[in-house]
Amino acid sequence: MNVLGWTGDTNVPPGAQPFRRGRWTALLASSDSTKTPHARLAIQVSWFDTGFDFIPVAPAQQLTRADVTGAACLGNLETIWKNIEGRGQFWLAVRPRDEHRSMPCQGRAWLQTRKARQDQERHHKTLLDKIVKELNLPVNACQQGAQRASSAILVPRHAAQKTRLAIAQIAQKHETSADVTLAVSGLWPPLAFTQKGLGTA
Amino acid sequence: MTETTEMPPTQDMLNRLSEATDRIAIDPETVEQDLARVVLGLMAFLRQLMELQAIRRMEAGALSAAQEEKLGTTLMKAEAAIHDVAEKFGISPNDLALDLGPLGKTI
Repeated sequence: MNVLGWTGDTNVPPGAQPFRRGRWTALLASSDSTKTPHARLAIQVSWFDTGFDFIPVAPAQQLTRADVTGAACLGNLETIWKNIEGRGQFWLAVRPRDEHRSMPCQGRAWLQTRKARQDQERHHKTLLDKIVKELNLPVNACQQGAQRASSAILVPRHAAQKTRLAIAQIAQKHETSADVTLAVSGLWPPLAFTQKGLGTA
Repeated sequence: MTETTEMPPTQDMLNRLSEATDRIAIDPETVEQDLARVVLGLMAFLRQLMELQAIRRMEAGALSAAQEEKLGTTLMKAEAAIHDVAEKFGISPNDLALDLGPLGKTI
């Protein structure tokens, strides 16, 4: 059995096996159905989509019941829960419309293209920072690289649609070159906001 | 004008979501691949630092055209070589980014 999350609720989503640790219940799923990070994520998303609120464990971590028996993270669950209860995350990414431009094969031209890409990434980060600042919602650290800048924002479930519209409006306000696109995805379980303090002993 | 697109859950995004962790996992069953990922990740990181330094020197006008050509060729080939070795271990270029927790990813 693998641990996919924590809940303070006595009810657990369909398919989850509860394992109580004090006030908290670890949500377990069979090892067969949770072999890969994608499989673990798929189950977490299915739980989240039913409206069930829980603290998701990073899908890349394969935590067993034995791991959480000695978990040092129980003290942090309360704090994490206060931050994410009733919330999900949107994932925002500013990226070039065409991500697969061919690279020159001459050394000097290659270096100049890399410089242009670096400038572009800086521009993407500035644009994303502006959008996120105007939204005025909790945000995780911006990730930069691979020609894009991306961030996750924490959004109340009931305000998801309103936030989506606000993102579109803010993005339209900012004049940028025609080759930039803002991708929005969600609502996802708030994975980017739960990992600090969820380490195991 | 910026275009906003609704993104369906792409493979890339699923990868990013499912990688949300600040640990490097070394599994006994995949130890060779996991160690290769750490070593190649560090090499890719060092190569990228050299690239940033080369760009900085280029911007400052501290390099001749010949030096820019030589440095660019070296960095380009080094990147290709790292990706080639990574591919032999079944590691994609994106997997070479090592997560340094609060410091972010290496590349």
